[in-house]
Amino acid sequence: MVEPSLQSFKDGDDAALKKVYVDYRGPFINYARKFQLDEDAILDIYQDAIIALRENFASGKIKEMDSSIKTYLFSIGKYKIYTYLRKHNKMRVLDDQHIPETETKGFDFELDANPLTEKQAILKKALEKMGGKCKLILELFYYRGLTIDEIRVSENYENNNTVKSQKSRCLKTLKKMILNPQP
Amino acid sequence: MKREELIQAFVEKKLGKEEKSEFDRLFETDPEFRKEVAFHKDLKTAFSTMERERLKTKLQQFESELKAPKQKTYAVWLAAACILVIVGVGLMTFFNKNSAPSQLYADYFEPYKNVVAPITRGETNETTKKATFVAYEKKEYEKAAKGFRALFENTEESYYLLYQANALMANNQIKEAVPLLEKHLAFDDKFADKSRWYLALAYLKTKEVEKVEKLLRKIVEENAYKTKEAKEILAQLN
Repeated sequence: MVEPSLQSFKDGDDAALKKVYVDYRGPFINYARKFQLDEDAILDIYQDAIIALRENFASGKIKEMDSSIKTYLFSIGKYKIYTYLRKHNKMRVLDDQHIPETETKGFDFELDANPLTEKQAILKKALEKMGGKCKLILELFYYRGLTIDEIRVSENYENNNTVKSQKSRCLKTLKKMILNPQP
Repeated sequence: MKREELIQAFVEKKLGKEEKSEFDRLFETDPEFRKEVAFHKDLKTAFSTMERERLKTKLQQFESELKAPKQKTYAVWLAAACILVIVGVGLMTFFNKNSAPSQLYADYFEPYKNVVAPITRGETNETTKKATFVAYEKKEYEKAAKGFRALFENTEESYYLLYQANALMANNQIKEAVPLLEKHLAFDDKFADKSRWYLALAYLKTKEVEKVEKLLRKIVEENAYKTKEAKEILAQLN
């Protein structure tokens, strides 16, 4: 089976994401049925596994591809299935099976383990309400990890100072919104 | 260095040695600074949660597309197939009058130039890669096609599909080239417009004129690679 290029998957390219999703959906469902999970649960796990995979690539935890996307995906999926089973007390049936040693070291499986703190939740709400341009510059800088230089180029700013002042202004706006949260 | 710049450098992971100790000192002694750093970390978490939610919605959307009622699609395909047959028969009768397509193919086909090998840096596949592109440039197409196939399997770099297809076409293995080009198109990488052109040529050779026209029209529409040639062929086909 042909996999989309790693780069396009990392970049969050929709077509690549969809291709990965569609290509491994069937095999994953088949695999997960062994654990007597219903299809809704399986799909939920599968989707979370894909998201975790993307984040691991995006955050640079995995830089070099030494296995195929499929291997990574199933490795994460397997882990998530076991976690799910344990959480739902279904692990008894599977006592003889251990949580597998994964082939993919350095992976962060538990991306969604911690719910947001109250502060983080307020922050998220504020960001969602924020204007597009402001949100974008903050996202590029604080989340995507672009440098001021890179933002200037990609967003066509005149010079680095304009980027910096725009960023500070947006950050100030954001802080104000957090101090006076509106319902 | 100002505090904000210090945090900025921290976020960018660009703290120098001195800045790092300044950062650590402030972090230990200054509660305001700690608060500021925590804020930036929270900001990152908030963004990644938003991104996760966005992805989840997207994946659920893919899922519901997959589960969409099949009957409707079936009917649409059936209708499409009927039209295809009718148009196809029409075109075939039309084109039997002249053997234009394969002649056009011969006029226009020229293997896509190597734009990849000269710009690469050292990597494990370097040797195979270089050797394959050398074979390609020396017109040893059979060897090149095999090489590109192996390279694609090892690296998953989509552009190798384009080159493998070109090597096959140059070696007159048009039918083998078609699925590779279609596969490459699906990747939609920066070479996709090249693949569209070569796929059009391949169909020209296999005389699937309707497909040729569709691809060429798209090229013209997007003013993409080989627009001029696409216009010429379209004109000659009609």
